[in-house]
Amino acid sequence: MDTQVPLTKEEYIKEMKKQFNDSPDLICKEFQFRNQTLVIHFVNYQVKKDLLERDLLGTLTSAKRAWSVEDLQNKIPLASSTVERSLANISPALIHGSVSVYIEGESQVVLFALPNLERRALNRAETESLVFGPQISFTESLVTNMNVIRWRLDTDDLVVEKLIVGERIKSEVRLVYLKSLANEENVQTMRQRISDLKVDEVEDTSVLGQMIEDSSSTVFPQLITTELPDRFCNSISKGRVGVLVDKSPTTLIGPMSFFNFFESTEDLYMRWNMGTFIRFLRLFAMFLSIVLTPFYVAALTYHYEIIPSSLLISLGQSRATVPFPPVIEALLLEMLIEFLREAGARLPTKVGQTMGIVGGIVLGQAAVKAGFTSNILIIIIALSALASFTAPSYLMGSAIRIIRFPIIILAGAWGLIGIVFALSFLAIHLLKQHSLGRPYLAPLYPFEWKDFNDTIFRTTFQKNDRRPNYIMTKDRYRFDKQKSNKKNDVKRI
Amino acid sequence: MKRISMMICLMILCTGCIPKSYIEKLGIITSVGYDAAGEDKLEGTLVVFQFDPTTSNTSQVISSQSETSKGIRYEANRLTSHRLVSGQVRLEVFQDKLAEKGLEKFMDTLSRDAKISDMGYLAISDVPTKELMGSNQSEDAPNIGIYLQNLIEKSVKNQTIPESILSVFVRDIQDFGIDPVLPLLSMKEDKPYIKGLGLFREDIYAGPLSEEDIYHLMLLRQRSKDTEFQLDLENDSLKDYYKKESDNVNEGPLHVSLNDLSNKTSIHAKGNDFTNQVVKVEIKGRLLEITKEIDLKQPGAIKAIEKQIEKQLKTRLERLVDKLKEDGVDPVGFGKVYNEEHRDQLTEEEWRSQIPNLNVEFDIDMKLLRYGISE
Repeated sequence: MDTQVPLTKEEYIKEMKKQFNDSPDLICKEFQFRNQTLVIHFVNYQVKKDLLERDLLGTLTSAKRAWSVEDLQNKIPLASSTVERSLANISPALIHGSVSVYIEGESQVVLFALPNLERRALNRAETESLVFGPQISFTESLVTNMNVIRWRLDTDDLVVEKLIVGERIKSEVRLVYLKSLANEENVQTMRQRISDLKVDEVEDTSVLGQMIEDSSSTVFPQLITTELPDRFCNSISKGRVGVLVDKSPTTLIGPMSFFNFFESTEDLYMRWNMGTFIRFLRLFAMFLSIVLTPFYVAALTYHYEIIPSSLLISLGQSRATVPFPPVIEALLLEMLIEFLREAGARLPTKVGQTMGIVGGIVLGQAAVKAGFTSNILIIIIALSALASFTAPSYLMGSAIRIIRFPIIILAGAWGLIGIVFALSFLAIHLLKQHSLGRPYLAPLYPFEWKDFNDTIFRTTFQKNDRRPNYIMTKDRYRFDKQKSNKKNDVKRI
Repeated sequence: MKRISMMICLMILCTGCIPKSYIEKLGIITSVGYDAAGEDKLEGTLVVFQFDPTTSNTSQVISSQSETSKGIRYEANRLTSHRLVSGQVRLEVFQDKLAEKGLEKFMDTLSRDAKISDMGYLAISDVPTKELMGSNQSEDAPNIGIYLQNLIEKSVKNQTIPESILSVFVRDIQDFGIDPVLPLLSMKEDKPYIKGLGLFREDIYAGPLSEEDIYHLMLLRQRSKDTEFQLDLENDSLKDYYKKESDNVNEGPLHVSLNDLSNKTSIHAKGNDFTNQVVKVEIKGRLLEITKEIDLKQPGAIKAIEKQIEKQLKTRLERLVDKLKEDGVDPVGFGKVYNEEHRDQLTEEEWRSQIPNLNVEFDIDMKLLRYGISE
């Protein structure tokens, strides 16, 4: 239903009130001015009051002759002014912080954008904090985030597309990529998946991520959510496609390979050897975190042969007091750790620290003293919990923590066979996944040795001249490798 | 979804279960000793780990008698509340009387039982193993079984005795032209130690080899590195190089000890005749100690010492070969080496019968690489 702007003042005010469900927030102001009636509408706290009074009202009242629509557009010192005829379009603009000026007798309304956005300042990253490197993180404001991205990716190659999702409550979504690099197919997949969405609303970027992911049944995230501008921009400059959602401090990047979830931009800021070491450490920690507890369970339930004889006594002695079979013991302790983690996350910071001490030291000690668990298991559980937190991606860390439970149960039921079964299942499952239609286990399968440079290893920048193959960028090379190796130093005489 | 739930159902219902063995409920056997008892009966002594939270003593020694080696375990199960399992057995000791009857039948079950490690050590003992295992002199090891195992493992690692794991022993029995050897354990003041080596004729124990001949056998049997050795030379053989002519330090016997030794041995049959063997031994090493005041800086001194060592080694090696000929065993593997060069020219019977006729010539090349600074 498209209602035109009525010609009489009374009717106009009535219609506007109807549009806003008689909300007290809609402020209506009438001016009698040189035989002219001007009606100004705005939503209370959505507008910058000082600008409104000084620039708009001040200019309006101090004019020498009657106002026309053209004059309103041209002579008011405000940058954004649009002419609108349809009432249905006026109300969203007012909600977004515009001021409407109506001249009685005209079928048009002039809108001035004076939005007063409540936003926080750029802060340090909280969930993905870096020790070393840029510290700022994205905020909830799309404008601020775009500002940061434009500042970091200083190129006219950057394409920003605007999409709207949400049937009832609309959110603005921005698609960000580099025109000369990003694969058209990737962009099209992302664009189509977002624009095809028929949902009520999108609460957050991570929600959007779950809606557009290739597979929803898996525990593994297929698109990276990050709050770090440097990580976002780094991915974009590698040819990936990024998504920003208004009102969300996180962003979405794809396509991603499984190994990208264990990368941090910090690896780039450190020297290559340390970066590679830390990447290996994370992958090893992931493996350890999945396998360590199940291995304990399997060894103590079925395979006493594989326990080194020097460890046998301490293991046996500490197990001798425990009344449960190893599976139950392990599950109990894993649960305890999960409770601690969840409680620590929910509790206020000050209480949280106390909880950590109570949980970690008191509970652990008491559990061993009471003969509830063996002290070796405490070490193993703590180690694997710690290892799962090394994943730079929070979602991947949680995924790893979850898949441990079925593996422990399988290890309790079938021993090492169960573990091997679970790991094979996991491998098949990972092989089946895609990220924006690109293979998820990318440099490993399909195997591409040269792509290991930038996923599992982190070689020197001089050597790392290729962009990963699975992203299918338009330009596969970052630079000419031959030229980069030449160093034109000042010759010593 | 239906398929997945079907799969899970099938997985749970149609798979077998491995019997659970919780370690706290097991009696884990770490080493076994076999003694001959009566006509065809065996007495087995098991050193068992079992976990009792109330005491710090985690091991127990159980003996039982039966006709077969596995039967011993079944019998012993009646004597303890823990289920006895053999997955951690790392050492088997056989009494010499039992070894004289042949070890083949034991090897068969040991190498076929998948629960028993092929890397487990074997040894023989000239005292009943029940006494050996009953000793409570186990130093810092948690029980006597682990102690014996560490003792043998250390000696093998330091190359003071040849490798004595199950798979090597079985290989040597079945290989043509070589006889196996095992460490020989004994007791001194209630403490087990390695007395020497046990020589085998195939799987039958043929007799002991004294501790001082072990090194000589090792020289011939394998290439080794970083070993140490002591030798006594003729008393006055280095008279020319004494620092002071009439020093009473220079009286008495002359000993040298060497370390960092590495040897390279090659065996070759002269003129394709198995009974005429030439053994070339190259030894390199460091002179660590000499019991007389010898001026090592003097030209020719080192050469003279080398010559003396070569001479002494040669007599010792000849003595060893005589001993082997006497027992009719070939742990050096003359037959094996011959067979590698001359395929199918020697049958097993010929090899065995010609061992006493062996005529071995030694060509020893000793090099002292370093002797330190002496002022």
